[in-house]
Amino acid sequence: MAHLAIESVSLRYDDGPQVLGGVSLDLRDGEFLVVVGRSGCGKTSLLNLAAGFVPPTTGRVAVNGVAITGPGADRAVVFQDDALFPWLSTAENVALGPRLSGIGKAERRRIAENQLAIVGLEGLADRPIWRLSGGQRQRVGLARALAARPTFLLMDEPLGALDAMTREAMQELLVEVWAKSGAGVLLITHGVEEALFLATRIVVMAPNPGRIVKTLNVDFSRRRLAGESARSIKSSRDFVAMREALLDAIFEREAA
Amino acid sequence: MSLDLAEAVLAPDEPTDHRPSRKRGAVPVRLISFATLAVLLAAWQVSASLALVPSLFLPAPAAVFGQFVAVARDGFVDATLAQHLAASLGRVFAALTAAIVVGVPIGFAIGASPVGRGIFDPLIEILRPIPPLAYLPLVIIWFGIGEPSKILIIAIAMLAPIVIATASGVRAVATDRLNAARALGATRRQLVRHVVLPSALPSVLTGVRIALGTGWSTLVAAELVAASRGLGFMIQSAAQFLVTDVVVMGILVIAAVAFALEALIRLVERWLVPWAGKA
Repeated sequence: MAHLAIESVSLRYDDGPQVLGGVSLDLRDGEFLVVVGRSGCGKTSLLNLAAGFVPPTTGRVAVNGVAITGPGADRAVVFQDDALFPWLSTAENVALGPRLSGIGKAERRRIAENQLAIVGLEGLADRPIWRLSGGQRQRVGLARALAARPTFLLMDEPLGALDAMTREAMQELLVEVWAKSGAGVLLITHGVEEALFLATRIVVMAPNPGRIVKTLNVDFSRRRLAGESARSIKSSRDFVAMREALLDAIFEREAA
Repeated sequence: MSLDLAEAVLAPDEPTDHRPSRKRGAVPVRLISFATLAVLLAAWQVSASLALVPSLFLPAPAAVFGQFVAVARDGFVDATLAQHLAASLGRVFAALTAAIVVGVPIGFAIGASPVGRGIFDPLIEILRPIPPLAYLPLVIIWFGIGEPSKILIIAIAMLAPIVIATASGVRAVATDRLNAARALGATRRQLVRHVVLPSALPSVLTGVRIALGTGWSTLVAAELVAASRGLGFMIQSAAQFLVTDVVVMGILVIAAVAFALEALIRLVERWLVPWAGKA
């Protein structure tokens, strides 16, 4: 069983204030871990550490017990502002991971079309990405990450820039994709409902320095997979109760 | 009294006054530009018809056009207009090729590495403001009066814009895009090939566009010395014989070619980097 471990990590950029102080967090494959917290609590820094974009100041990040030294194809990343490559077509964007690892053209095409179908973008393979809508681009970013067949999928507020309707549709897609891929997902968000709907486990962070203040196990995404509708889940009594509990956890520290 | 009242009532209606002014802003600028040129041409024709200025100083439009046809057909100082034009374009494009081959890697070094920046930045900053006419004599002392000197003079003028544009393109590569490729397993070399180079390309092309303008305006200086063909050479020879209509014709051809080059590079931009400014 694959295992991404963030072990007693602290982070400080140059002479700036401490961004993260003593954070420990485990992510296993098949798990959907959501990190919530207010702006400036170090959520994105935590993801950058897990991805290997920045090294921890103290502590370590390890995959299956081996410390990471940088980014790797086992940990795919989906960015808030999609970070697609406009000089490549939609299909070429999706198949960039396979291309970098030396997979042939025909096979890349097959992979791209396959992944585009999974995220609901059949037939858009040859479209330039600057002709896609924001929601479509975010789906391409997701397909690109999945095409690398990652063990872990790291997502930094992937739905943050989308309108409310698109976001709801994307949330359902994320649940499906997560279940299908079997990857361990780490998703950063400031949306409380989003966190509850997607996660199997929620971690609440607080700032100054960034640290984990609460962990919650939830199972609404499994209810969605079992066939219950998103509306029914989000209006259910236990969902609403959990939402209030989660909001309390996020804002408690500020009141004190 | 009632009139005052009407005015008082109408006065607050300022927004309706704003709308026509916005319409005025939407007047086709091109039309005004064409009108400006037409008026200029008409004034030129009138002053020539009334002989306000001796034709030695300002030849009539018809005379200039006549020279255009005559030089295109029969040539001037042993070469037709097309041959002069080809000689000039050949020099400018040879210089452009040299400037790209040398300038893009230097710009890349400045943009990508502090060491490269330390080495090349001062050199480019020293070279950039020197007018071509100032280093022309030195280039001739070093490299003689042959074709390489002329190309070199133009290439030096083109170098700085290409270097500076390339460096700024490389520096402006989006961190997220670099990280995205790294997380897909890109090696350093793959990052350069798949992310940095394509990211910098629009900026490099902007540099090429500026360089073409600079190079074209350096042309006359480059053709000051021991040229036997070229638009700049043609103008200077004509000036020595006081054939003012050929001088004016040459200037207009240089202007027209500069305009055409600008249009060409914009086409190339649309073809090579259609995404620029869109994503």
